[in-house]
Amino acid sequence: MSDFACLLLPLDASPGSARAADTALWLAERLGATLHVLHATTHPLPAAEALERLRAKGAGRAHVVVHQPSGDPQAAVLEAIQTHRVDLVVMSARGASLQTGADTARALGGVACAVLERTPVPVVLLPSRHRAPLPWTSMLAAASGEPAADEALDAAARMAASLRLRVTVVHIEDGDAQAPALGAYADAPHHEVPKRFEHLVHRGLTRRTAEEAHCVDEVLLRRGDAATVLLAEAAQRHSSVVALGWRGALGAGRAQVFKRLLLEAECALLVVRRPNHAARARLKVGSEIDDG
Amino acid sequence: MSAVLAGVSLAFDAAIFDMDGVLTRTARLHAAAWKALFDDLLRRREGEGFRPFDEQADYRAYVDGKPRREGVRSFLRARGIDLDGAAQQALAQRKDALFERALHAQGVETFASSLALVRALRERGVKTAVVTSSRHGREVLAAAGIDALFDARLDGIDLDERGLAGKPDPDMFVAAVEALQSTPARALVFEDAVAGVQAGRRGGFGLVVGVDRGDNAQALAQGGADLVIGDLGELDVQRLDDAFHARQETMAWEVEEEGYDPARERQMETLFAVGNGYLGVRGALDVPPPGSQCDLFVAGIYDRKRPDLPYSEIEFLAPERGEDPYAELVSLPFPFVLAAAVDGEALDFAGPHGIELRRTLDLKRGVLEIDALYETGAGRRTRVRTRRCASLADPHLLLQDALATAENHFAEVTLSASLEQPALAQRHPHLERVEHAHDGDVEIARYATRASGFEICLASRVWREGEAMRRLVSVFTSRDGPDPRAAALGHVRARAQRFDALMAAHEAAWAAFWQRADIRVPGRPSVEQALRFGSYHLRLPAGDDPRVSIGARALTGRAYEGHVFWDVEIFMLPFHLHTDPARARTLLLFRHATLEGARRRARELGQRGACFAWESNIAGDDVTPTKIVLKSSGKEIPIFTGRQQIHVTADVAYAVWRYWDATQDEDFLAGPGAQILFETARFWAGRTVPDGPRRRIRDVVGPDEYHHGVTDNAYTNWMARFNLERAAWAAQRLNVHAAEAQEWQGVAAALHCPQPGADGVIEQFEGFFELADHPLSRQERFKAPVARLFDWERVNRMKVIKQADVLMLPMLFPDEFSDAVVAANYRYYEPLTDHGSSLSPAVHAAIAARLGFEDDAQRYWKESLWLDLSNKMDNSTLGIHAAAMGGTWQALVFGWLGVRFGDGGPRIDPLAAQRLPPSWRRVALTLAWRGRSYPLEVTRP
Repeated sequence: MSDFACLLLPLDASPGSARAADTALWLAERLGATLHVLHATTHPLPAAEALERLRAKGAGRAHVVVHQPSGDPQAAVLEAIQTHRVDLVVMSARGASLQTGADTARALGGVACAVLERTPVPVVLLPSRHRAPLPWTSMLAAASGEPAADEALDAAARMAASLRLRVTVVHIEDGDAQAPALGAYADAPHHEVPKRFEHLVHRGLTRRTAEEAHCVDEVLLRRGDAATVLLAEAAQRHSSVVALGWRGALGAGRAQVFKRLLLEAECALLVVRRPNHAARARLKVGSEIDDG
Repeated sequence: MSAVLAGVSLAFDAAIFDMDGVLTRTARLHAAAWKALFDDLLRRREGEGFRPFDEQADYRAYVDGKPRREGVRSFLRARGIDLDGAAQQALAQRKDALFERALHAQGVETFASSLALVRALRERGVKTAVVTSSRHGREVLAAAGIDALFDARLDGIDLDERGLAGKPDPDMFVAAVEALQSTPARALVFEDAVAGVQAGRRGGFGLVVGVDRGDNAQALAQGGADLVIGDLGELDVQRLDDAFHARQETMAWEVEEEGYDPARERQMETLFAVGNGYLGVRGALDVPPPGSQCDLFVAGIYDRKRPDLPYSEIEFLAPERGEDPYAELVSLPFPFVLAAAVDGEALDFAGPHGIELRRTLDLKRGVLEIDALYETGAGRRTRVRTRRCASLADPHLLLQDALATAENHFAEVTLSASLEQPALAQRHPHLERVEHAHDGDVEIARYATRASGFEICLASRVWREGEAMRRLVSVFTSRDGPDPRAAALGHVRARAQRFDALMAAHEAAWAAFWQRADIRVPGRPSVEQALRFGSYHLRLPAGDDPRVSIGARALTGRAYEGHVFWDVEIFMLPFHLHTDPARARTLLLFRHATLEGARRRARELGQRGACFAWESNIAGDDVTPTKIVLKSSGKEIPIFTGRQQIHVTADVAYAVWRYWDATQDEDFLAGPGAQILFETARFWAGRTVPDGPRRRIRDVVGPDEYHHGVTDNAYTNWMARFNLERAAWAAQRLNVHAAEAQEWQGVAAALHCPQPGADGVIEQFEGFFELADHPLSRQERFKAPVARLFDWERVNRMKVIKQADVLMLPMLFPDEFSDAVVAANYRYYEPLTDHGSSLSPAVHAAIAARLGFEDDAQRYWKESLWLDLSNKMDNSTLGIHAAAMGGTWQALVFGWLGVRFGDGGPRIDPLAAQRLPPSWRRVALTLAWRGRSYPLEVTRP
């Protein structure tokens, strides 16, 4: 059994939300997971009928449980994530809100926002332009040296190992303007840069077995705007999914790369949030000892 | 600011007291309430035969000092009782009600001696706070009538409201010290619970006092109490101040890591390395977690380059490096691997059982201690403590001991050691296994390198002494003699059972080293610690074998593949020269031993004499690649340093002269020293080219590696001239090569060495002043973007430099330049420098300190001093920066202190006292000069 034993698919009876159903069912089957399908409604139906109404037919061999609570969909989804100890949420970036035209400037519906902002659980998100076919064939993961990216790479490797996908890791240098993730003091760059580059990937794989780490079969260095490069690489490689870490804030000016991928990506996104309690190791040095 | 009332200042200004058990005697009420609660529960579940809650043992082990719900959870887990959150919450509430009832019925007792100490501290201006997990904190303080004794009060209610984690997390203590407007480093913590003592230790508090109210002293000390007392009446303010200073002294001798972070593990493995010149072992955990780079390196054991692991494809390729048999330092299997298990369940800190980890490098003794606490099924806690070292007294010897203690259970704990290396091909691709066998009580592992044909033998012997496991590992290679197996076997057998004596000899060797090398900065433990850490790591790779030198990351990491650069002669050597000149001699003998390689290289370059390799292998051959290629795009980036950074040849000659100057070692000068001077001078005589009456040096790379193919690099030309002059001087002195000496003098005199212009600035190379301006952004300084590598052509045309280049000259020839000229060059070049090299900050610190540019001097000094040893940066993942450590030492000695050598020995610049950093009262050190040791000190007036 994989680390993703329990999946959640929130639906709202709109064609928008149903676009995630095929992916969710496929993932559940391939991961050997239980798929909880959740539809908040005041008119519950028998399970099979409900799935049909929700355009989520073809369960195949996946183990599917249907939940139809009444009440606020956001609250219901958040509660379900807790109650069922959900390991992965699979959802469309926008469901009914796409049809109603509400807030069209946003690429994310209310339920997706709530899940992303208020839970730490990894999410497979299908952006509105998603059209990558099933089965998934390859994964692209962005490495930046930030804890969120490490976490995303970890999730990517876990998922890729279970699905037998190859992972291409790409690190994108932003050119002169940005502080480089590859760090300070590249004394002899032909020694430092390759080693640091390897470490950038290693950081995200420290909790993985050698076998899982071997899913990563390619590591690229690219320069330019991160979102542009990721979109181009994903398109060129026909990546099924792009794994991306984010810091957990969607407000104005935040999560720019994520937002652009939401608008433009044609593949799925595996979105992983920075861990709340990052592992802590402290050295008793410098100002930890005196503050002179 | 320290508390200063009553005339004498104290080293601390804040004190934080736990409440129950330290100030008040509510522990008894709490214990009784817990007992009533749990006994009732246990009786209902298990009937009358239940094992009751023990008011002593269970109280201390599971509930003492913890927030209520945590206490409930912890005890239930220990008894294997599984209750849901709601039921646990109900128990916690009932405990609360039981306690409240008792509080009102019985009132609060206080410890008079504790309150007296609180008052005495307050009289001396120390701010006080009380911190308790109890939600009744304020009630209890009020009931006892002592709330006015504290400037801040935090209790269980604050804990919940502010979302602070309970003890042993340091959150509450940190919040309290912030409320007192102090810092953990300046604050005391008084605690009677182990969880509280741990919180004080983890929070980095200046002094943690454990109050033992009965049979708990050992646990408190183990939890991290610096001082354990039975009652606060045993203390007064003076004793606390003494203890605080003593703790600072201890901290300044050790580097401690608390906690575990997989992403930083490789950095920690680097910092906590042990070694002795013959070998180095990274500071990995005894049970290395997956992904650990737990390497053993033996100086001189190199092999052909192997593809990078573990990823099959990596972006960067250096295509032409396949064939050199000594291209990279070999990673050998970690010799300290232990396996520990509880009831058959393996302990691995990175796995699910790791609870607490403390890794402490004792710099004074050269010993690494690791203390790991694990929790396995049913709440069984097991502590594994280990020590290890690489004997400084016996370079082939490694020592390790380990003790596993069951803290709260009787399950079987096993501990074993093995040289077995299951994934050899994957983890150590240079090696073939020759043998893994047992010979009596000795385990033997023997390997051979694939291309260079070295054989390496490890022999391990394990035995028990009481509860402890003790182990010796002997390491020999075919470079030591024809039969490393027999040597290792004989070595480990001859030393069996003498662990303590062997450890004592090792510690004595370190003590002797510190007598020569220690630098005191009283009152600044963090500075002393960082300086000692640097000296420790400078000592680790310096051995007795003239066939090897020190790689850029010493014996602490795979990066730089063990290649030897100018770092050794220019940055590290002065430290050895003035602390242990024999080491400096050994390092120079390596250059002598590789003269043949340097001659080969000169011939390849169409020159006479000897040209040392920019990146040298053990044979003296250059192993710098000429290009790297980006695999995915095919883009090629040329590397010019190998062919053009020829100043290394003069750097070696400069070091020869420095060594002779500092030791007057005539044998060395007459033999190896002169040979190096002559052969390098022959190289320069040909490498300089005539241009009218002058001679010039074209097509070089100076220390600033952003510019290639330049003519008359000031640094290179000055160094070459010095090389030529010293060779001529030596020839005259030894009465040899008279004709050549004359030629060298002539070339030196004609060699164009760029001089200060009208504004005092020396042009770095011909045409530098005409390059395009490139105003450096803040982000680019200290964090030179990788773009510098890709845009090498553009960078070559810009006025941006990687590191001190012209500024190296006043560093190496301090008396050749007036302060005005040095200042002019500093002001010109410093703003153009992005410090893309770790060698740069130390040189800037030294020059700024000499000039009295206080802010710059301090900024660069701190940058360099804490370059590796920092929580903020991740610089040391690939290995320590030995040259930056040597540079830091030089910045202190030659920059801040302005030391010069004369007939009377070393003397400190009389102005040094005024320009010391403001927080330094005094600096004391010892320098070796011409056969004597000179204690030196400077005190701020």
